[in-house]
Amino acid sequence: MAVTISTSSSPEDVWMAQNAVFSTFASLVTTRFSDDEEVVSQVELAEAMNGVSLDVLYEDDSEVAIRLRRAFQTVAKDVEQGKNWSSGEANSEIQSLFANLTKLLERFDPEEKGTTTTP
Amino acid sequence: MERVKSLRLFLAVLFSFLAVVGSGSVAYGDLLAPKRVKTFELETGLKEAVRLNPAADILFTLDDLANKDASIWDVPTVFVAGVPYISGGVYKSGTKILRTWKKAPKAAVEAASRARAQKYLGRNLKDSVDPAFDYVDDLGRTYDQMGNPAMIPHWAKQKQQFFNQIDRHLQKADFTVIDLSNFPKNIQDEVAEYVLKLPENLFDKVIPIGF
Repeated sequence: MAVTISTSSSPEDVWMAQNAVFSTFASLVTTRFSDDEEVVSQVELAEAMNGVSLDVLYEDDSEVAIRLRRAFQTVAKDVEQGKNWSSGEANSEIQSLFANLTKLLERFDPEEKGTTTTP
Repeated sequence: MERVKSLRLFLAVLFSFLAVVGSGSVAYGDLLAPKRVKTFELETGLKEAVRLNPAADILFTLDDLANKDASIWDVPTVFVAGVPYISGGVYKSGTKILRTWKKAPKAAVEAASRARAQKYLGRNLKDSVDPAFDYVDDLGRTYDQMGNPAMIPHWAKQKQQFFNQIDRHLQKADFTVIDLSNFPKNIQDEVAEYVLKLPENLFDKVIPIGF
């Protein structure tokens, strides 16, 4: 049951992970940002609906989309560096997967660039 | 020997009859059968079982069921307020025998879905080494799977998000399995309507199951 995090419909802007991987990631995000109810709610919804499209969410609620992006980015960077992965040290495949997510989220900055697509 | 077999068969039938009568609901009679039964009957049965014995323990685990040659594939899934339950066996309480259920572990839901996908495709699907994808077939083609039962209570407000996710999942793996087995019919129909309108190149990547 794969889950996506995406910033446009372009294949380069769609990140996907197995549900077990996303669940661990989601748990890290919701624990770290437990004081942000809307972020927690969006993460839970993403797992239920098989993904979240940050660009679509941005059109609906830009504040929440930006906070969610920052939450994903913060935790993804930690995982990329091998930190905090609950099942022990993240292996190279997991670190590489989250490195891709970090890059994707860095490209998504509609506040500054006014765009959500790949360069 | 034949007489012993006949006696055992008679006792098994009698036991099943008493279980159904003792439970107070004919719906229980179907719960462990390897066939799909109507969702509303199962929900009624579950609610009734919980009402009769809210502290019911689970006697059989999924491993026990597997040991009895009842694979996860054969175990009917029940949805109550969108939460999947798998029938867990028989609970004895005094002279009454109740069937009861356990909340389906996510892994069990995924395993059942994979079994359905394998049957549909006639291919063996192995775990993907790449954590981005769910399965790989014997030709090295990648698959991902959609249809989390947890989406059912969100459907009315979030259906567009699910449709959007279908589009985006189709950008990644070679094939996307959308398994809506045991989902409410309105969801199955609306997803079918959406998938049928996909462009041909994307439509060909969808493996529809249960709708």
